[in-house]
Amino acid sequence: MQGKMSVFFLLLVVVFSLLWFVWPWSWLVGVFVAGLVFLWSLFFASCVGLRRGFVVVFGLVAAPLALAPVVEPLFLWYAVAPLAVFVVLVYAASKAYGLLWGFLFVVGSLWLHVIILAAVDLLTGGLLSQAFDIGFDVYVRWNVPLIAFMDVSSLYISCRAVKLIFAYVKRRRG
Amino acid sequence: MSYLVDERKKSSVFSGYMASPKLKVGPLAAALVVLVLFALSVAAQRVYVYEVESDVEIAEDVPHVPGISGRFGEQLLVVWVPRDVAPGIILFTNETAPIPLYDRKYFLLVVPADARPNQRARAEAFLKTPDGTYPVVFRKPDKGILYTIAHSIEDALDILKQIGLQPEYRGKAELKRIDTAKRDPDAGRETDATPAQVSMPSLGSTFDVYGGLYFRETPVFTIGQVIIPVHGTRSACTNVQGAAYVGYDAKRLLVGTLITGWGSINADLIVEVYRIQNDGSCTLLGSQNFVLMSGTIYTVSLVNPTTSVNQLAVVLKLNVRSYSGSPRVSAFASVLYTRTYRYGFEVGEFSARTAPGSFEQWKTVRRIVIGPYVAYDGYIAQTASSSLRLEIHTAPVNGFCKDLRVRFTINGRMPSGTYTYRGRGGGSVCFYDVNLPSFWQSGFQDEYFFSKALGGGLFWVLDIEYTDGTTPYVNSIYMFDAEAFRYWRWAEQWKTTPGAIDGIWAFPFLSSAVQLYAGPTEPGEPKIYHGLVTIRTDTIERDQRVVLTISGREIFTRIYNVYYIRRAEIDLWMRLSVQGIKVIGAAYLMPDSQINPITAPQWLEIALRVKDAVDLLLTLTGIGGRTVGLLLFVAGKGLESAGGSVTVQVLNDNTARITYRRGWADVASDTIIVPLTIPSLSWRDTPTELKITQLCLDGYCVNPSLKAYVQPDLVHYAIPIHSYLKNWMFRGQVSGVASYYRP
Repeated sequence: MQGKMSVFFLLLVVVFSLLWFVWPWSWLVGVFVAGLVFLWSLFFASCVGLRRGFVVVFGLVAAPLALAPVVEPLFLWYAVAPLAVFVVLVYAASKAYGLLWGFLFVVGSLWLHVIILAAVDLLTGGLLSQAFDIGFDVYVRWNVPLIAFMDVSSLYISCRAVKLIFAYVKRRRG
Repeated sequence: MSYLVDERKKSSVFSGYMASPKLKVGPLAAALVVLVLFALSVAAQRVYVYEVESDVEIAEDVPHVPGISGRFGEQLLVVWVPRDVAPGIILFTNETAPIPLYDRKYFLLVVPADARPNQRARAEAFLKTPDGTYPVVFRKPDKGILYTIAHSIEDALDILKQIGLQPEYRGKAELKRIDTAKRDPDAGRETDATPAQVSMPSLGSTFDVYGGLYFRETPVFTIGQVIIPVHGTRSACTNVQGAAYVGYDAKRLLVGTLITGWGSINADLIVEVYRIQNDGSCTLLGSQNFVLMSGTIYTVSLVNPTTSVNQLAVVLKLNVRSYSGSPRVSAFASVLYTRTYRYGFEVGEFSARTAPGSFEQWKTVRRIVIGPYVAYDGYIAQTASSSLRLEIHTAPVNGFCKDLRVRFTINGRMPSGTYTYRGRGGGSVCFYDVNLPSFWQSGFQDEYFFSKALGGGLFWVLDIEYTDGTTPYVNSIYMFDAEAFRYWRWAEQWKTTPGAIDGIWAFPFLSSAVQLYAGPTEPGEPKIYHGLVTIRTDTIERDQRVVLTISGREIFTRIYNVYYIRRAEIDLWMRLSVQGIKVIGAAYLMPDSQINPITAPQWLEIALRVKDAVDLLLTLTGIGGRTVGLLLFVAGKGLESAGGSVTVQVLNDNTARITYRRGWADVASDTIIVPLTIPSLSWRDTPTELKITQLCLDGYCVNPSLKAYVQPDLVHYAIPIHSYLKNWMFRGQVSGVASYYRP
């Protein structure tokens, strides 16, 4: 069930990121950022076990990103929001594994996906690095959907892998 | 037909909007209006309208019939109508429209129905009509009306009805001069053709320089006198309302009028010419009355080299006899000046360009419209050029590429040569490399002068056909990075001493400008890119010697969606070193003329610092920071790209690249102002040439080689003798007071 939900959110992130090709270069970019952060958070949380309450929490975390162009101090949230998402994810994981193992689950998944991405970058001759360097560009749009797809698919793999490792460790101990 | 209407709408760009008040007419006044209208319709003069083929072109001297008397005295009204209208495309919007082509030897002549000419008068030509032959002489117009432009014969009849005449179309006529060879103003036109870019005018030479006056569109809702006020906030006279500044050494003044809105108006146009005294007050030199007609150009003889030994100003008024509906009157004026180029005066350049791009057609095309470009103030006669170049791809006819004949005209009215091009290729496509081999100076000069008098711009109309007379099926048209028009502009400074003259000009600058048009390169939503870059080389601030103004709009013509400029790159070249070049206080120019700095908002700056601190922590988690990951990529890059930036990069010792990027959270403005400081410009005691070698606006790149001149350092040059200046400016001269530089 969780696996299906993860795939669903994975596809949602990818489809949403494809909207970047036609997204207007205006304050609406804030809405795009908020949308992507929200969906990505749900995707990762679905891997550990998504509850209804987290949807609201992640919604609250993402909403200020969309509102920043209107309420300027909210730009600070761009710097802090990833940390907040991380904390909520650890909390979500701790529900299943306890605080320490939950923390290790999230950090482990993230690091493993970083390694996968680095490997892909190496194999593709720096394509991913190039995509990251371009950032948000009004004319070059291919990089964002590519990063979104590579990120969520590698994270899906790493999350599943860490889950299997945790299950293996649990069996060995148990 | 619709194209002309469009042109007239465009003209309103130059005139300010004035809300038309609601008609508040009491029953008595309404009855009076009806009575007056009735009386006028009864008294309306019957006129015959002839469709005339002339053996020579009509220029400044217009036809008169000796001995006749009518509303226009002995003068015959000349009304230009298109010789033919054919389907064409307006290239930059890829829209199909009927495009008219005028011929200076084909027009309508309006003759009083009961004309009894003096047959014994010495005639220069004869007008042969179905109603008889009239003797004709040519001279400056008695009633000041040079000519009227209509978009069809029906439109011409409507214009005549609008002023209370009873026109009757009587068929074709022929105007034949007795001694053609001596009088053809077109003779020798081809000899002044200019093949390439004209070099900078030399010191000490005297030029004809063209300027414009701009008036507000005026709704008519009262009988009697109505002032057509000048644009801007100040009158050129302290004691007369709404006066437009003409200045010294004006050789000729043309005024043009357009009547828009619905209904009709019977009125006189009154042009009052004033002399400006040293104290800023004005005394009336005289006034001239004209019959107000739509699309008509009048010549104001009171403005001439003799009267403009003094500073002149003009006031436009209407004397409204009757009206119906809610008509609005727009007025424009072109002025021809004499100027001598001396040290201390400057010239700038104007370049109207086409950006490279391919325009898909897949249809039969007879005419191609390229433009319209603004008729920028300050054009120096005989300095225009064009390097227009396009490649037309057509479908072969029976496998062959027939020769293609291209007739070039400016505004569809002024011819600039007909050339035949040989096709390359065959098989499935023929290529025609259409370039303009030479440019007709005097044609451009006349059209600039007349078009400006009606508030219009300048555009090319290319009439294309195979040499056998058939119309080509065009697959696509490729535009090159080329100049549609280019000319030198007079940039004038009046010194405050001696004589303390012209203290009314605000924010003086010398500017060169490039106007850029680009269009869709593939079929799809019709759109047009319109950019304007000006380079001003003197400002009030001493350390900001060069200011770039960059405007750009991408307009989707069908869905009325507009994107403001998002990216610009400008390469600036100078012979001196550009090392140390800096951008100081780049800003957005807001629609209300306020300045909005392009710096990241304060909170955005703080957020970027906080992000730096948080990044380290996030790196450890693997969520992002200095590693890769979607979450931090989205938040981090989203933050970094929220605010706009203007940066400058030294490419080599003589070239700097100025790059602008719009932030996604930036204010809505289509214009940015980039002041630059260049250390090597300080302490210079001779002018310095700057050149924009390349500019890219939202991906549309051209190489304009546009020159501007930085004056000697103000410390040496401007104290204290040049504390007041005036200049030619985009959209005309605007009044105001400014202290130029006070140490």
